[in-house]
Order: sequence, then C-alpha cells, then structure tokens
Amino acid sequence: MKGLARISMVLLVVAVTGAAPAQEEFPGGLIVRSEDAAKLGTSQPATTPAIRPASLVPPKDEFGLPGPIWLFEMLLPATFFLHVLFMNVTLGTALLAIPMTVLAGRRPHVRVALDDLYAAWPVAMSLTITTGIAPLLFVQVLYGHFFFVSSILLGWHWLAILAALMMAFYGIYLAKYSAEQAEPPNDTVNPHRPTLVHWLALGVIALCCIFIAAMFTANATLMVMPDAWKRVHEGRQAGWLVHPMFWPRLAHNLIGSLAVTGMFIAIRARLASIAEEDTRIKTIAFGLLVALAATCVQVADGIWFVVAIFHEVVHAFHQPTAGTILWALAVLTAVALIVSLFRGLDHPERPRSVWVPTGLLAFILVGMSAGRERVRVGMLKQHVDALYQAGDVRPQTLTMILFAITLLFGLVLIALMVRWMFTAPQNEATLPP
Amino acid sequence: MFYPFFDVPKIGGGLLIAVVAILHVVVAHFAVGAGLFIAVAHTLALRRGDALVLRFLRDNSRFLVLLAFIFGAVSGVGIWFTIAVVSPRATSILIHNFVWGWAIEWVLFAVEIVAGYCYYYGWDRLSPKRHVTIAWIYAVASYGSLVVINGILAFMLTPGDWMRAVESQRFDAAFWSGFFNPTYFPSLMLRSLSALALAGLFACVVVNLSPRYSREERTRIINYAAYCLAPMALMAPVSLWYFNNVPEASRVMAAGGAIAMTLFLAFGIVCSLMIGAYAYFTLIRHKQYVSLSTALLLSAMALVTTGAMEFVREGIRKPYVIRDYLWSNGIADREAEYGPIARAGALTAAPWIVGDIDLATAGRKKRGELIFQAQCAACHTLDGANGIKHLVAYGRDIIRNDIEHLHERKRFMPPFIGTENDKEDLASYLFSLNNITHPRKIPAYEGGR
Repeated sequence: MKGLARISMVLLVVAVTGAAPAQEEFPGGLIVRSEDAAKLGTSQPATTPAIRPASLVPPKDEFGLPGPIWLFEMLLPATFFLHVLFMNVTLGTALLAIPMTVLAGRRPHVRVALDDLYAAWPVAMSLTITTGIAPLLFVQVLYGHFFFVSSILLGWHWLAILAALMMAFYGIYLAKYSAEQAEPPNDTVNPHRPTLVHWLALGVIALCCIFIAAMFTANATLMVMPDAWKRVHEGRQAGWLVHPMFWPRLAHNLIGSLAVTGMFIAIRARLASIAEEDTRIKTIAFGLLVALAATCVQVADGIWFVVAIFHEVVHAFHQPTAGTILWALAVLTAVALIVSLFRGLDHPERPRSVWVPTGLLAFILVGMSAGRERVRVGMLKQHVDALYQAGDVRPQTLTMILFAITLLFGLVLIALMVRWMFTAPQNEATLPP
Repeated sequence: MFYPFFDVPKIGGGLLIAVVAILHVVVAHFAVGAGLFIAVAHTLALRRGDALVLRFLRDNSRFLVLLAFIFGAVSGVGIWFTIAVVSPRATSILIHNFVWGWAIEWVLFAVEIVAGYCYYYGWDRLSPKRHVTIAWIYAVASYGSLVVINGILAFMLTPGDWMRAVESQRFDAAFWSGFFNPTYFPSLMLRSLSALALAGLFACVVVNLSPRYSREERTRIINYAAYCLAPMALMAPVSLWYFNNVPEASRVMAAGGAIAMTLFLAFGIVCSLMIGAYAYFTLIRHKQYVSLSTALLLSAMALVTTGAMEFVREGIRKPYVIRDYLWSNGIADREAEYGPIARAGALTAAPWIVGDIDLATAGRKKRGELIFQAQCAACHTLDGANGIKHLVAYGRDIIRNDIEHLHERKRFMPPFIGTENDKEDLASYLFSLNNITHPRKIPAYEGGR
C-alpha cells in the first residue's frame, strides 16, 4: 500500500511537471520534492499536498532488531502462551465468581471449587501481569510502530487499563478476605453469606477484567489495521470497532478463559487431598462441565471469528508456516477436546479424565498463540515493507546469550522454589495470622 | 513527529509520566530495599533466635505483597503504557537498543515475584533454612532488577560511547557502553541508598500499623530499621560524584542555570541529610521511638525527596530525551533527519498533525498551531502546566526572535526545526494567544549621570 502510494505520487508529479522530480527521503520514508524544499523562506508554505507522507505508518526503528527476526517471532508467542495460562485463570475466575457464589450455597463441591479459585486468584493475577510483560516487550520490538499508534489512538481508554487493573487486583484481595471472613455457617441451607462488600468487589472485578480484555482485544485489532487509523484519529469511528472481528474475538477470549478455568478447577480437585472423595469427584466433574460448556460455545464463536477474518486466514494458508499448521491442528483438537470432556464426565474419578483434556487444551493454547501471529502478519500484508526484514537485524549476540543464560537460571530457580512450596509439609497455603 | 499526538490537557504528557514514574520509583525502591532488609534481618534473627524480628518480618512481607506486588507491578506497567503514548519514538529506541536488558530484567522480576510469594506463603510451611534461602533469592533478584534498569535509565542522560559503537557496527559494544555509561555507578549507589531508606521508613510504618506490638517492641524494630535510614546521609557525597559525571550543560543547569532544577536538587539533598541525621542521632544513638504519624511524615518526605531527585534527573537531560541523540520534541539531533525538515518545513514530517488540512489555504495562524503541536506540545500545554500562553506574553518581535534563538538563551530548549516561513507561522500563532499589541514601556531618559 505504502509502496503503491509512493509510486502514484511520483506518477502524479511526473504528470504535472513532465519530469521525474528529485526527491529527498526522510528517515520515516516520507518523500519531499526538492523544488518544494527549495521554497524556504518564501511566502508560500513549504508543505503542499504533493509532498504529503506516503503513509501514516511510522518508520521502523532506526536501530533495527538486536537479534534474528525468527527469534523474536518465536519468543512472542512462547511468552504469550505463558501469559494466557495465568490470564485465563484470572479472567475466568472473575467471570465465574458471581454465579459460583450463588451456586455455592447449596452445592458443597462448588464451594470447594470456589475456595480453590480464591486461593489461587491473587497469585494468578500477579503472574498474569508478570508474564504479560514479556509479550508486551516483544510485540513492541517487532511491531512497535504499529502498536504505539493504536495505543495512542485508543488514548485514555488504553491508559484506563491501569486503573482497572489496580481496582481488580486490590478487589481480588478484598473478595478473598471478605470470603474468608464471611459469617460462620449457622444453617446447612445457606452456610456462607457473602457480604455486600464481597458482592460489590466481585462485580467490580468482573467489570474491570472484561474492560481490560476488551481494550487488549481492541488494541491488538487496531494495530493491524493502519487503513482504519485515519478514521479513528478524526473521530469518525471508535477505536475498538474498526473490524467486525472485535466482538467474536473478545467473546473468544472471555469464553476461552472459562474453559481454562474449568480445567483448572478439575486439576486442583484432582491434585488436592479433599477429605470426602465424593465431593472431590463432584468438584472434578463441575470443572469438566464448565470446560465442556465453554468449549462448545467456543466452537460456535470460533466459526463467527473465522468468518470475520476469513480473508486473512485464507492468506495465511497460501503460504503455510509452522504457526499456521499449529493453528489448524489446534482447531481440529478442539473437537477432540469436546469428545474427551464428554467421556471424562462419565468417569470423573479416573485420572485420565482430567489429564487428557488438560493436554489437549494446552496444545490448543499453543496452536492459537502461534496462529494469531500468522494472522497478524496476514493482516499487515499490505504494509509488508513496514515490517522488519533480515536487513534490519543488528545482532547483540553476547547480550542475547546472557539473556538465555539468565532465563535458564531463572526458570531453574523458579522451579526449585515452587517445588519447595509444593513438597512442604502443609498442603494449603496459609496466610500469616 | 511520526506518531499521532497524545494530548494530556492542562498537565501535559511529561507531568503525567512524572506522576506515574515517581509513585512507581518509590514503591519499586521500597521493594528492592525491603528485599535486602528482610534477607539480612531474617538471617540474623534465625542466628539469634529473635522471635520479635521474625514476627515483624512476617507482617512486613504482607505489606510488601500488598504494596509492591500490586501497586508496584501495576505502576511499573503504567510507566511503560504512558511513555509509549507520550514519547513513542524514545520508547522504541530504548526497546530496540536494550531489548535483551529489558528481557533480563523481566526474568529477574519474575524470579522476584515468585520468591516474594513463596516467602509470604512460606511462613507456616517451609523449613527455616529454605525460607531464608528464598529471602535471599528475593533480595538478589530484586536488586538485580535495579542493577539492570539503572543502566537503561542512566543511559538516557549519559549515553557514553553508545552512538560511536552503533556507527561502527559494534552492536554488542553499543549495548554495554550505553549500559555501563558514565553515571551508571553513582546512579546505582543513589538508588541503593534510596531503596534502603524507604525499606527502613516503611518498616517504621508497618510496625506502627499493627496493634500486636508493645511500645518497647515497636521501639526495638524502629531502632533496627534505622540502620537502613542512616546511610541517607551519604546522598550528598554520592550526588557530587553523580554530578561530576553528567555532561557539562546538565551540571550547569543543576548548579543554578535552571533555578527550578537547583532548588529541587537542594531540596532533595537537604531532605536526605535530615532523614539520615534524624535516624542516626535520634533512633540509633538515643534509641527513641517514632509514632505512626511521624513515620508517615518521614515517608512523605522521602516520597517528595525521591520525586525531586527524579525531577532533576529528568530535567537536566533537556533539551534531549536521549542525550545528544533525540531532542525532547522527538526529532533526532542528526543532520540527516533535521536537515530535510528544516529545508522542507516543520510539517512535512508530521502527517498525523496535518491530516487533510490544506496548508496552502490554512492561514498563518492555523499553520502555526499545527507547528506548535508538532514541535512544542511534547513539553508545553496551552495554558496548563508549563503552559505556552504564559511563556509568550510578549510582543510579536520578541516571540519571533525567541523562536530563532531560544536554544541559545535557554540551554534546556531544543532548536526550532523549520523554515523561515514556519517561524513566522509559529510566531503568529503564539502571539495570538495573548495579543499583546501595546506592551508597557518605561521610557528611557537621557542624561542623569
């Protein structure tokens, strides 16, 4: 697109002046006619429409990429995968907390599942933020000049994520503590009576988390739609409604979080030593049921989503890559997941009823993380000259190796600490009194 | 310039970044200082069998999680979000030059967070040996993240030989010479002192917040924490070391060239000395007690001190965002970049600002307004903080002359990049903000000697 616009501009100048003009190129790829440039100090303004920039896409960073493109293209989905693991549990808990609190009054296994979620929620939120930093970094390395523009266009809505995040995070602690300090049971029909503060906290958390999901979805969509930027900048269109994929994509994220959280409930119940075996089995079945229901709805939403980005998907399959193939396999695996969840519900007491769908869901997340990068590239196909190429690489090899060593060492330390925690005498995390 | 302009009415983008950054720096420094404090105190308490200190560390770890892991983490992301929308180009340059530094810092941060939670949840489940080991992992990881981030922050003021290495295609050398730049070590020392002091101050707050401590127990913990505060007195000599290594122009600004900077610096150093001296004479030597309100007052002083010092660090970098490379208006100090703009016009490289406006018919004032957005609005609001309206309450000739020579008169201002025609347009717009057509004149009288 940018190249075409440049060519048309040159042709226009040739048509008007009868000769190809001498040009001066800006770092940003902007073209300026030298005769216009020579009008310094004249009464005419130095800029005319003929020397308007060829594209609103800012130039690539002049310092290039400090490592090979493939490495960043691998690090981005890999770290994003880590992020979505925790993000889905955080978001899914935010969405499930209210209905589960309603159900928990009469169903002890739902109470068990909810307590498990509350125990994990603050740490999951913290790790969502921690693991979210890396993909945010790598997306800015590869697509910063797109991402910054879309962030600015979303403006205060984008920055409002910070306030929403802060409210949701403190709200989670408030909800957790207000749940722990709920009135002691005085009857068996309604053993826990959440306070008004508790309900309010859950409501605020859910709204904040949905808002954050919506803004991230909007930014990820707007950044790959430079052709819509002008409309948004001029206020003719809202920044989050530039593509029909917004709603199915947002729904995809929300529903996906329910599926992952359902599996998380089942896994926790599988691993926990709950006194009553019957409650444990029911808790596992509840988790599998949530995952199954969410996955079934996800299939319908997935079709809506794919229809919305049909051209991009077709383009991605013109030149299939590992990412595209992984994505296609992930879509097929969704069917296998539904089957395995159905079968698991028949025998929730069997370990494989939990571990098989867990493995399938993990693979789906890997495939989706890889596939979304290909769709992103597909949507930017008209701006391919604005993407980093091999010639933009300025390798910092030693520093890159230092990162790899630090990463390895860091992962070992984290694994060691987590192992210490899980092999400690007590089975449940206790807060200091 | 290449990006849309993010308008922050009344306070300006710079102040928005400053607010988020200062709040984050205080909490992040506390997280680092608390790591060192907890690791040392936990080790000593185990050796001495000091149950009181262990009980306090348990309370302190909850405070650490609630403040540093929530507010600190979110405000850290907040800085990134705000600099990306206010100064996207500078953000891009920092990311593309130091991505492996950021990535290493991320790993350290992840270890810090996991260690912090393990420490917090580990009180009733981990053996003392493993628990204290995790305290040390937290301390080393959190200090390591400061070690890394300090290099990138100090780089912006003193990039060292970074550009020379870039130009000679030595990209690893560019990273390291930019990282271990002339102010790296003094800056790290300043931040370490600040981190320790904040850990000490917040310890005084935490012990006062809990009703479970007797007056004697509180006094003991406070006197213990005072050892973190006393090193604040070293702020003065370390600041001298720091300013000895900053560029001459920045030093001049801090030493009276820009009086706001000088006052902020003096305020920061004097406050640090006062806190350090108070800790040594009152808390360490005379073993006195600090109430909650006094602890909060001291913490507020530390917040303002940190804010003042950060303000100075940011301020003396002007007229650059990245010293000697990127001016605060987002234009690179390279002839290859500013040359074409100066020759073709200030708006030729501002597609987002110009939009569909026909500049040929737009009129001088309108073009001036667009030029203001392109080159001035990164730092100046219209009539709010650092508002341009109040700064140009002159006659048109003076404004026109200022546009030409302001970077010579005030060394924190970048030069105006544009044509003579642009300067006229901008002067017309700025003049129209106040329209002072009849400035008050004091007649000059002949003779009188």
